[in-house]
Amino acid sequence: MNSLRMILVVASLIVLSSCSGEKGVEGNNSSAISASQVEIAKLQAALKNEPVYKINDSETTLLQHEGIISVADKAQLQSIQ
Amino acid sequence: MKSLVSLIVLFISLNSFASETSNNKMGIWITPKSIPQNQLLLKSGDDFKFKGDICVVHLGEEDHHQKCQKVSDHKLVFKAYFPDSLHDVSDKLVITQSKDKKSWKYSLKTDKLQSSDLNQLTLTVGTDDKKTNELLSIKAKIEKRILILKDFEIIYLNTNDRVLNFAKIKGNLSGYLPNVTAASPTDPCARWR
Repeated sequence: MNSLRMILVVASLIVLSSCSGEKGVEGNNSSAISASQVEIAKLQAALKNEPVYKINDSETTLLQHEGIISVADKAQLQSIQ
Repeated sequence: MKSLVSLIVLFISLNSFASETSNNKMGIWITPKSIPQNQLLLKSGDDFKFKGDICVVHLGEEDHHQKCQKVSDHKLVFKAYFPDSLHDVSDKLVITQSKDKKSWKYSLKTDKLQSSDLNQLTLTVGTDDKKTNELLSIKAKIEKRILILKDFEIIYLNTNDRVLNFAKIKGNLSGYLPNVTAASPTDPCARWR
């Protein structure tokens, strides 16, 4: 159970690192990661009651297909729902 | 306290439509009536009436002040979206064709405005296009996020949370918009006259 929890924590750090656009360096970058996490959480909360503005998978796929966003961009867009 | 509302107008002509010969394509001019100075400052709860003209011209000669071309009504679909392109308000769009059938006048009265909305009128003229509609929807969703982030920047400016960097996410999202617009197969003729 503990090892599973460890894997999940590491995975979430990688996602947050790519969302903030910061280098995922351990230790020194923790404040940047947490700031990004708070900002995205606030945006998510604001959008929570407005499902009409949810960006669905087919839309991010269309943007990627059109060359408008990268895989990392897609992850960021999907995180801000 | 009522918040100020800013209005945005966006016009799109969907697909140039060809007449009998393939090298005789038509484009569309959409000309909004300028907004009087005393109506520029609107508040939440106000409403507004958009007005303007629509005219069909030969594609490629649109800068030459040419005359409007006669086109039969059934070739054109007029659609309106407000306060963003996710909300179809075409049933409120009033289109009147001129007697010579070479131009149209449009008007649209909004419901009560909200400062939390984009307040962006999108008027599309031409044939319905699925991809353009999808991209317009995505654009509205991204713009909504940018609008919320702009509000956050103001809200958190004078708080202990001011270290939060909403500008970075806002910048990323704003960076997508020109490409979303460019990917839409719209007629290059649709622009301000």
